[in-house]
Amino acid sequence: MWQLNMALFIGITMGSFAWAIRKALSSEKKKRG
Amino acid sequence: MAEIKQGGEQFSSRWGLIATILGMAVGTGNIWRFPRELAACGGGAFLVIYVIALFTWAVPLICAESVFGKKTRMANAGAFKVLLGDKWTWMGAWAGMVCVMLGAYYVVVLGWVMKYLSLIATGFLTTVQTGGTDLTSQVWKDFALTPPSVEAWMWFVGAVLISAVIIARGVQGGIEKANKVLIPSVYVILAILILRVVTLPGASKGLEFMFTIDPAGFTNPDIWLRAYTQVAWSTGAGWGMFHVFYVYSAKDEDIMLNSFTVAFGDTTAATLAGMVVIPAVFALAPDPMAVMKSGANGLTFVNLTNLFAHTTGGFILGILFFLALFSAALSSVIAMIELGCRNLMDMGFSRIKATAYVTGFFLLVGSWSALDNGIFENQDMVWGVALLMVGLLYAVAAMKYGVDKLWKDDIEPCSDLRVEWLWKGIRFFPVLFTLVWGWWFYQAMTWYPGEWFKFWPLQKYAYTPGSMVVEWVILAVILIALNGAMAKRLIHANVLD
Repeated sequence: MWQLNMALFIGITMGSFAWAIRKALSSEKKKRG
Repeated sequence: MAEIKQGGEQFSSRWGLIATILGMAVGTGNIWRFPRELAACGGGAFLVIYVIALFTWAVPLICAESVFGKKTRMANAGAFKVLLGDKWTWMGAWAGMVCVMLGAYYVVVLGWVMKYLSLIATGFLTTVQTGGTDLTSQVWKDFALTPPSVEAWMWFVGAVLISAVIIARGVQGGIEKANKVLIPSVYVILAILILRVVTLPGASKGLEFMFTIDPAGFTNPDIWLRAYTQVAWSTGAGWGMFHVFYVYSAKDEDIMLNSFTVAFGDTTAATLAGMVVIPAVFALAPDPMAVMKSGANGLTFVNLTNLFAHTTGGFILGILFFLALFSAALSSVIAMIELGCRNLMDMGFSRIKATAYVTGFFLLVGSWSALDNGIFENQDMVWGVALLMVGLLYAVAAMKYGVDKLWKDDIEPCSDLRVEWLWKGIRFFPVLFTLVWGWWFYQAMTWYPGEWFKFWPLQKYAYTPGSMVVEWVILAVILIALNGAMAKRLIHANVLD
């Protein structure tokens, strides 16, 4: 069970971080054309 | 209002800003406080509550601070003056000064980390192997806990000077460049450490402890309060430092997405640190919970150092661990010094002059903490609790100016992440603040039955509400007296176009 919790927690926190960084950098790229 | 003079600096890219605000947020609190709090709260339930606190405490406050900096292009004192009126200048200055006071003793920690990095690099772990584990306690005691700690003071001076050199080089050439190296290195080093630590026999017990959720934890108010406090002190939300870095942001910077990025970036660093420290302690220590309860300094400079000395590859582990701690601490110190500098630059001082004055102030005030650990403990409590109040000032200021207006005019138009309800959570902040701050204040009273109002000598009454209130009030009185003079000089916004 704890393995599932670990996967979920890491997925949510680190996944959100990776998603947000990617979105921030790709939107800057778009703005700069 | 007086004319706002223009001219200044800007981050070279969005990544530059994100790396810098991440650098400010990711500090020693992630590496040595988060694992201890997680262990003290029994594991998984703390993690779930922590994520709730990220959304209800950290993200709205980071947005509030950021919008103040981006909108006014002035640091704390100047922004409060511009948005709320001249008579509120002292309040913004108080917010800024709390952070500067915190920075002055926080640099001492950076000095300690530098000392231990050099100790391990020069073979200290081999000495511990032959000299026994009591040696680490003795070395720590002689180095930092026995006043006057002259050697600790010398490392402190070195730490202040390194930070000052970075700040003096400006936003792009110093702050941004340093953080672009320091912050990725924290994540990479922690990831490498995890790969080594999880292969230690017994390490999985630590991971199991960390990620097992006891449902009873959700009904325990103590765990909620500790998780909220950890979010407040780890993310740096509401301390006024995000504010200062947004002074240098692009006009169309996305405040909401960046706040979300920092909140989760900070949690990622804390989780990685937890996955290093807790499994290492469970694998190597005979009584893991005793080690986890040994306080920040005890855990890091005594117990972990001991564990590294008795592990295969401990030299590399020790070097990497203290390097991660160094990068995290230095990036946070840079933010604290820059906050002081930007406030002075808003009054017309050049960057070099501002850096010299703030560095001088850090050396003067921080020396007291470097030389005497009793003073360090007092400063840690007084300004740590005051930071929660700075968050309240930002929340109240945002409400006074207009939460809806700030969203419509400044946050929403530049945002890829339009979650208005998250921003509007700032309206509930005073309730959360009352619970968390009140809990700390009440706790401090119970630690000193019958003497909670006393404050002198500071070493004896390090954690009393008396010492907190006296120091906060002294600072407020000085700044109220200077209010008019500050308001008159705060006319130099950082506007590029």
